[in-house]
Amino acid sequence: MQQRTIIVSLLAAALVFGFGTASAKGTAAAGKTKAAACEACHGADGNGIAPNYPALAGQYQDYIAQVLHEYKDGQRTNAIMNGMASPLSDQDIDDLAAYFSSLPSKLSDLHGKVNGGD
Amino acid sequence: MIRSMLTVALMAGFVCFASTAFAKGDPAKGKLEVYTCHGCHGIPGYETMYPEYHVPRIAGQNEQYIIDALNEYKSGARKFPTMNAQANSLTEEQIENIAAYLSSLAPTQLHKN
Repeated sequence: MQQRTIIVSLLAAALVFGFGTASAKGTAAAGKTKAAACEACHGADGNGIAPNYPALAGQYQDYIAQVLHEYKDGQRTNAIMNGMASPLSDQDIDDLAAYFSSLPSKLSDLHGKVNGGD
Repeated sequence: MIRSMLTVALMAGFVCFASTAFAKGDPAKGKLEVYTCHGCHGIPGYETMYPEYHVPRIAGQNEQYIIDALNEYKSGARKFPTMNAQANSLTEEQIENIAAYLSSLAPTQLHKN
């Protein structure tokens, strides 16, 4: 009986870890191979080739993924980005988000950068 | 001759006007106006409630993108309740000031986040 419980527990644990792996975020290396189209506007360094294109380098990975999903499903609209995001798979989105978030960044949180607060 | 001088004068006027139209905000004023932004964007690792993802890093972000984003939030073209409410309360000048300040925070040396 106890052995059975242990086996069930192990299976449950394996399942949890299994899901963990399945939902693990993409890899930067894979994202790099998919980023050519992005770089036309966001730059090879991910910081944007002009001030109207956002810097992606070093942005939070899950925020980039969220935005790409919003562009893909039309929740957020942008003439260029809706077209760019629509062919992306979930895996592509995770890989691209992993890649851009890994790049050397000029972005940071506002912590310590306001008057009257920190 | 007079006509060409007039044309040149008009063109000069146009150039001046164009550069005025592109005048950027005042980062010193922006520094005061980002106080509210700090509540969400100032906490490293802070996440939205639902769906759950990190509130984006905006310090150092590109100037025109911030202006566009705030205007889209203000017009409702871009939707996020907190940001729609915030942007609604901002004037065009405040938006430009905020963008000028946030973009000025970009460091000369890139860092790893």
